[in-house]
Amino acid sequence: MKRSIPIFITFVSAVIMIVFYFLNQDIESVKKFQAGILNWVSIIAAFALLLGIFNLLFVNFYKLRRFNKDSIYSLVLIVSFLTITISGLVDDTSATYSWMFENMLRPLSSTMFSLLAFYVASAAFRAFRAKTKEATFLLVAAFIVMLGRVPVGAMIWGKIPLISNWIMAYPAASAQSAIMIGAALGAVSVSLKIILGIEKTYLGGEE
Amino acid sequence: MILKFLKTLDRRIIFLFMAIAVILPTITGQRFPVQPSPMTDDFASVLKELKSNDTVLLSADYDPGSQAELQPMTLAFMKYCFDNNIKVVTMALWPLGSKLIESALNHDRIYIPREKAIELMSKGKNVYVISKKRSGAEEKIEKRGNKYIFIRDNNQGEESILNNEDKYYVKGLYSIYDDIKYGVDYLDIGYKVGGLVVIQGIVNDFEETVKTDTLNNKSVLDYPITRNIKNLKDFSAVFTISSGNMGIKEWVVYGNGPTGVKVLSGVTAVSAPEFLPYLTSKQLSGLLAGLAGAAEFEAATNYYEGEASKGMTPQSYAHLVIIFFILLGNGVYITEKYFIKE
Repeated sequence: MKRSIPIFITFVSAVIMIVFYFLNQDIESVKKFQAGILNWVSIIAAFALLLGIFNLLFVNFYKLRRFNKDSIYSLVLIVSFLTITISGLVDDTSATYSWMFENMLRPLSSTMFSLLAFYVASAAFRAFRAKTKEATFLLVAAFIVMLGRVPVGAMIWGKIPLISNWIMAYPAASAQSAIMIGAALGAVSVSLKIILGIEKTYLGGEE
Repeated sequence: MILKFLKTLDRRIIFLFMAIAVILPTITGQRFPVQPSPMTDDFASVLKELKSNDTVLLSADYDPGSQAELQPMTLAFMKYCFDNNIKVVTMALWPLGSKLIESALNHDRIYIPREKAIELMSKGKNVYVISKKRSGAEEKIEKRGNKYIFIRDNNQGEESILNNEDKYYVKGLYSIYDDIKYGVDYLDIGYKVGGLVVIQGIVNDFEETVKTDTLNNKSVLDYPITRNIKNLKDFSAVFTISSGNMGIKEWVVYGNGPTGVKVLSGVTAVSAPEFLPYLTSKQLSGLLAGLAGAAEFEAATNYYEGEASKGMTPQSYAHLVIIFFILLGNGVYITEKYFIKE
């Protein structure tokens, strides 16, 4: 029962969505029904967001209660979370909320993202080796694209951006198309398995 | 000895090189010329096909983590639209995307030439300056009679002259326009929870899905800009600035798929190759790839002193540093493999 009901709901919802996708969207009853379904999905998504928030807070309160050297991070998270949430709920157009967004959240998030440059450089130095013919091709292509995407590439040799654009437009795009088609076929097969109740791992727990 | 040192090179040395490569050109202000690539030219030509009074939907599907690459696209795109009388409806599929649109309109630095600074001051707008000859910090300029007073941190201020070498700017795109009216030229419908469901909703019924704007919480039917928008087909184009799911893929599949509406996108450099097939199949009408794409778009639209164009010099040096270390690593590998006997 615990598994049959979710599998039944999944089956019915999926079949409805598939059938309605192929029906004439201009028919009023189809429009109305689809709007209703979409509203339901929005409501469920909003609850999922709420669930995520509670889960995050629960995990971090638990970590804080255990009290060790890493508890400070949980404390920072909880305090920041509550400060931003409360000030946003009171008035999300207030100067305090905007100040926190502009002067704390934006610089902190950007800093986290920018750290990538440092780690990429370090990882590339250690791992990017021309060990085989294929790896050498990849290495040369990477050099050309890296130089072609910045102005200094054209300053070194005018043809570098042209070769870089060609690599992006043909070999990279066609390889990506192949990956996408493969992934799409895989997604169709997994979706069918989920709809038909063959794949149940998304329900969690044991068989 | 040297080989062993290089083989076990401390990563902090690499970090140091990278930091110098980024910080030095930022401080010196060195600039490399940026030339639009064919991909960006195609993007710009799609925009140029838009006519005055057309309405576009701008979806900010990113957050501050990727703002360094994507926020310049938002600024340049909105400025292009406002300059050419193209109406913009903004929304977000990411919670903080909406806030970043607000930042673009009210907070972000928009650099302007000295002449424009004088013109805006005469209209009573707040203009700021960073003067290298003075403190190098932000100062507000006030015109008192025939004198320009530079004010820092609520001081009385000092009289100074407006040099051509100094950097002048206003805060937010709104500050450089007199005639942009909320609800007429621009409307924000904010963050919408639900991702692709929201897109599907807009495809079928814009008003039913969106209902109200964020600023006044009034029905979108009350605003001239959206009064005649029934569904996604009524927009001339959709521009999604995207750094992951939900974003470009969902707009192409669920937006362009059923309606054929033109979808344009700006993405981070690292994710751009993933979306190239959509571009070649024409499901995507234009793509800006990373900071380079943003800088090229700034160059194509004559955007003054854009952040992306400024960022291309540090990025150039950063790429050179990465290439140098890859070559160094391979040099060590080849030397060890072919020239050093056990």
